[in-house]
Amino acid sequence: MLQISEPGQSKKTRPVIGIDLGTTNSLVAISSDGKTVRYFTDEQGRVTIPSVVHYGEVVSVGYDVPKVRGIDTVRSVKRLMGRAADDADVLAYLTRTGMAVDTESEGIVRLLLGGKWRTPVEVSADILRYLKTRAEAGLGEPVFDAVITVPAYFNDAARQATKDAARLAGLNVLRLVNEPTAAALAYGLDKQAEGTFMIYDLGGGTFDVSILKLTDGVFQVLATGGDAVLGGDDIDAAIAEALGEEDLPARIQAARVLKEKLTTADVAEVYPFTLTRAQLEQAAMPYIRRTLLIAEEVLEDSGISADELSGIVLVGGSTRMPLVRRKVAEAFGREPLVDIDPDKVVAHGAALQAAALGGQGRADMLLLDVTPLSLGLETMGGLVEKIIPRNTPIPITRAQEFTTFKDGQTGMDIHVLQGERETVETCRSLARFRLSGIPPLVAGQARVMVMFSVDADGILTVRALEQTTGTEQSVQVKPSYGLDEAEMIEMLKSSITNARADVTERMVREARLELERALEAAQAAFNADKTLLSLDDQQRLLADMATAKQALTLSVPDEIKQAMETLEDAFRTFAELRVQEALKKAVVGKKIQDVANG
Amino acid sequence: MSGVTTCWSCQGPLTSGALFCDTCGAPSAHLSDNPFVVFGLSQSYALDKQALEKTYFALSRQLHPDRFAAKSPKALMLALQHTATLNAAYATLKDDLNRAIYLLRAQGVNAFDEAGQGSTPPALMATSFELHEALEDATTPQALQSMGQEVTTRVEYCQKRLTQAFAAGDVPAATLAALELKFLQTFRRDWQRKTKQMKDTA
Ligand SMILES: [Zn+2]
Repeated sequence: MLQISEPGQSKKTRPVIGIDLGTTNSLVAISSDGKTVRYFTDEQGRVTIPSVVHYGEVVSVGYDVPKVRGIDTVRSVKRLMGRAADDADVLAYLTRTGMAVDTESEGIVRLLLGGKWRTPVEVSADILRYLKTRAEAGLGEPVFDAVITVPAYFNDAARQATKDAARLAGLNVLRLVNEPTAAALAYGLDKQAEGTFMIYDLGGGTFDVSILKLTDGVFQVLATGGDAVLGGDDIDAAIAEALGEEDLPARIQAARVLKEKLTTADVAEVYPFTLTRAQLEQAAMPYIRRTLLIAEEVLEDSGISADELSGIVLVGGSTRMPLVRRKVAEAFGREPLVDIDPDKVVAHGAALQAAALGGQGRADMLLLDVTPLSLGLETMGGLVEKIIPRNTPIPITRAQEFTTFKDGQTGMDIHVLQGERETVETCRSLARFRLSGIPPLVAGQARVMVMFSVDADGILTVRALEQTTGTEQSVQVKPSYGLDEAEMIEMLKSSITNARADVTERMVREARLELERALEAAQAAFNADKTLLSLDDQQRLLADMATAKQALTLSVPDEIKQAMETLEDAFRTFAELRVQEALKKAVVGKKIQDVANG
Repeated sequence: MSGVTTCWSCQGPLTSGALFCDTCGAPSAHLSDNPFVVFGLSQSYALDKQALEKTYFALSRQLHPDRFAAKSPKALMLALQHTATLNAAYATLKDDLNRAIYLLRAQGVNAFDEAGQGSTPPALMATSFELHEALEDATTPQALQSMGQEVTTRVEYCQKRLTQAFAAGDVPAATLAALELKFLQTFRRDWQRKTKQMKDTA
């Protein structure tokens, strides 16, 4: 008798890495069993990598960046992801860093680095490329797939920008995971926790808070919120302000060291500056107060009261400040949990989710996340009609019907917005497009269906469909100040991974996955119903499977596709036999039931 | 006994209405958008919410795109669509008002559609007027708090009426109760806004 392997068992699994792409620091990790996590370190054994990039003769990242930092060094670039050049937060960033920005560049932020204008997406890609290389060195094999964490409060544009950066770095994003959700995953699986938890995540540049319910391996986000530009950087700037009037970059550097020292000491000195813990807390207090207000609102959104919480988990380097711990404890009436290193917990969760997506994680584990911001359309009078409210579980599709308001109207402008407020000016504009080809009818007669789909990464696609003629317009919502596909290809061309390789790689990959699926399906069908076949026919199908399997090593997409079709053809007669058999059983079942009923 | 169709992936038999192929595990090509069918429930208002959540988790475990992330793009696309349908179905069933509206629409009631609006029953108009006036007059935290309690009491009463009306098959009564519940939910948001404003200015 031939030994038949379980579908997928003999297949060598591809490594999937987990990346915490932070404002201040980044980490890369992997889990081969969904339990233990391995962090990729540098030669000195360092786990966290400063999210700093220097553009000199060569591009250097993290600790490789030269000690003397000039205008060609960029840090905290995450703050600029998905933002327009005239955004107030971008302007604040530029003032603080003294960086030059391309004023000709219609909305897109371009920084002058190493004599070239570079977008935040390209800078992030350089950090990701470095992390990918580090993981490859550690594993001794190439890596293509990754899970990348993003702040839960990141909007659609920032999420898309992160995916674009990964693509430039030659990484295929299996999932964008929200940082607090990743932290909860690490915490929950590690501590076998059950109940409802608040995750308070204060990083270098972003603040997130999520309420999650943990039951039997299901991590269900009930509500999430935050501030995409509130973090340790702002506290550093406030301390620097308090330090006097000397040179700003020196004060900011001193502020970081002083803050670190004051985690344990009551007074700290960095020549020529001295700071007491009380002074630090006075400078930081307005920011902490703001985080607590947000946390209270999110808790209210979740429909859970503070005393129903099973615990509060602190995440992010900025939560090391004793002030944060004290204030959180005061506000919610319990000591926060700090069992897992707040710097590593997000990467830990990313690695666990990477393992789950790669098929090596806990089989019963599941993340159910939500969209952090409401999505809607502009309606009459500059108002926003919400189509998908915030905290809706994703993926989700929602449709809404609209009609024309003028006689003979043949087009309709679709303006997509994100935000909680009620007017167009107070929400963030994501995209505009025009549905044309509506038949000229009396006002209110035409029926236009607008469909919003948010995928599991929190990225929105909008379709508009005129229902009487079937005219359809569909857009992957790309913000007007984001990168379009042509620009993306242009960048891919100039990067190490060139554009053609990127496209071919994707096609080969997809063809292989589809062939793998067909092989698994064939094997499963064979295992289930082989008794319907003669031994000769069984041998023939086994041989067909073996032939198809060999095509997995091919690198021409059409050839792989051809092999799949040949396999499916070979199985067609067998499939018909199986269907006939099932029909026979169904008829017998029906007869028995008829007898029983009658 | 339901009919037999074929699986797009292994080409074999598939029980029609099944979410997955029993043989190869591929998500089926079609999923009903009737939330009761998705959850395998009979189309009625009375519902065990704990059991509903259990089914939601169980179906999510099988259908979620995370289960197909590193797999065939076609299976992944179906998983994504089906999970979107599942999430929408869960939102409809879990919420008393949404579930009631779905069932009433299925009975041909149009009071909840754009076209059917303007048909607000006089009794509800009076309640609305009365409550909005009381909200305007409430200027102390105590007054607001007692209004909040009143709204809660009214919501509970509405829910009770809804349950009874559906049990009795009384569509007009169910429609009235659902319209009132819808109004109360909107009103509660106004109340919350005012309560928050008062808290912020204090
Ligand atoms: Zn199948």
